[in-house]
Amino acid sequence: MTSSSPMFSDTIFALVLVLLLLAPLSIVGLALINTGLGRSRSAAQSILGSLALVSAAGLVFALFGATFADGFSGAGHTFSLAGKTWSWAGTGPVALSGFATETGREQLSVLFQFLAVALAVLIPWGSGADRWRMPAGIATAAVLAGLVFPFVAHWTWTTGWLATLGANFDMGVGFLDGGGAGAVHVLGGLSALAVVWIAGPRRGKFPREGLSTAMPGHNAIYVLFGCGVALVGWLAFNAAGSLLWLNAAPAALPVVALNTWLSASAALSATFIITRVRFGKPDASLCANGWLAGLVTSSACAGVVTPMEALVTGFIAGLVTPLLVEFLELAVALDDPSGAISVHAASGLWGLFAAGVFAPRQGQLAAQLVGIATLLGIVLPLVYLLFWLMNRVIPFRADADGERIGMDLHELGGGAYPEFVVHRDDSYR
Amino acid sequence: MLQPEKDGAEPSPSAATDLPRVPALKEEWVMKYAGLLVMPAGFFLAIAAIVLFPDPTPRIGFLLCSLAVEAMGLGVAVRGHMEPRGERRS
Repeated sequence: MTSSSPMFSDTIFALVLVLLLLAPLSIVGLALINTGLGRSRSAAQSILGSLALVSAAGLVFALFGATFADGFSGAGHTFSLAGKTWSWAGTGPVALSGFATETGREQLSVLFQFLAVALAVLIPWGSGADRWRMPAGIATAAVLAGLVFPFVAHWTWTTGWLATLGANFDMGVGFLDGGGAGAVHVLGGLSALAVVWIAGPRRGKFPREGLSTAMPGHNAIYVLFGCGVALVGWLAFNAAGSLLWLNAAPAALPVVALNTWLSASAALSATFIITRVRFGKPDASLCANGWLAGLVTSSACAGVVTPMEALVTGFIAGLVTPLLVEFLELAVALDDPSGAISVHAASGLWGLFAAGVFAPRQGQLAAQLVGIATLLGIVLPLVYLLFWLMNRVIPFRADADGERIGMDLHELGGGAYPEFVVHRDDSYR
Repeated sequence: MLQPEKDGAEPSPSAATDLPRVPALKEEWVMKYAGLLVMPAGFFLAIAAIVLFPDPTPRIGFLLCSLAVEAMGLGVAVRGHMEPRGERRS
């Protein structure tokens, strides 16, 4: 989108506002999924942590981040290269001053980004389950919301250099990411990878002898219910993103919604089949990962592909996700309880690539490849560096005793299920 | 299958030679950070592709090369992070 984007009529303004009021359901769904995929003795810490992370991200984004993400106050901070202007940061008002007097479109754009950053910071929280301390999680959320997300959002959605690749270098319409596959999910998934690397695996996950220890999620109902709740949020996010960032007409929204649903359904079907074939029975948590991978893929594709193409992209995401989850755990020894690296990072990258392949514009694939190269080449090293520094100040990992008794008792002083019988944990060998 | 158990499968060099054992940590650190440093190089190749090649075909080729460089860096970083796993095991 550019600053010359058309103004919204009152009807479209109301429509986008309603969609954005539904979008937090994706955050709720993800929080439920993260909690269900963790252990019962860390459930309260997980869900409280989700609220705390979302709050911290919102506060920091409102105070600082929105300034750099802004795309409406002129070209922002720019430099010149090859005769073109490259906008690398916004120059919006500090602390959202004057927000109430901005145009409806500007207000909705900020609201969208506000929700997007909340979703992005939740993604690594699930990967650090059962050992990641809440203060460290809150600090990383603040850093992501203040120092990383605003720049990626500006590049992707407003007048940033990725969004203007089309106008400047004849690369389609510039980097396409209507629902936040890159700015939200790839950013969150790569942050999850950095967290897993820095925090290390849960104790007992990779014993000295034999295969890795299975540590299944404690509540499949949370996980699967969270998937259903997330669908509603995703439909809203993708539809609102199409109107805001892709300049779609309201008449295109049924296709966007259908694509979102088809992508998730195809992905779930693929994961269902592949786990049924490999394990003899479908695996609930992997199927949830597959469903979510389809939704993540749709974040990039829903606004630019046909329903059949959405089905194909979702199906491929659903095929790859369970295999990648298994590969990362067994071959690479990454302990990622929520599967965020596969679900959000890998599926997000696949969705961005697929959008370039299927979008009917010349040069679009090149723009998507530039976006992918930026996310991998800049965002991952930057996030890793920031988290590595932060780990020196606020250690990510709970001590051994805290991990043994569970993060609920360790950090909150009480469990999520005080009336449940707690069984001895055989994984601590 | 998961992890070749270095300290279990191979005799310690220090035991064989009576020399102080050189920790493998330095090598791991080099791999971690070398991999992560290579990845921005891939990004700058992508920028070079935009600026230097207006024609779509060589531009796409160059962009794919930049992604290959990033993938290589990621692979090295992943490999570097796999090394200390044995020490972290309980």
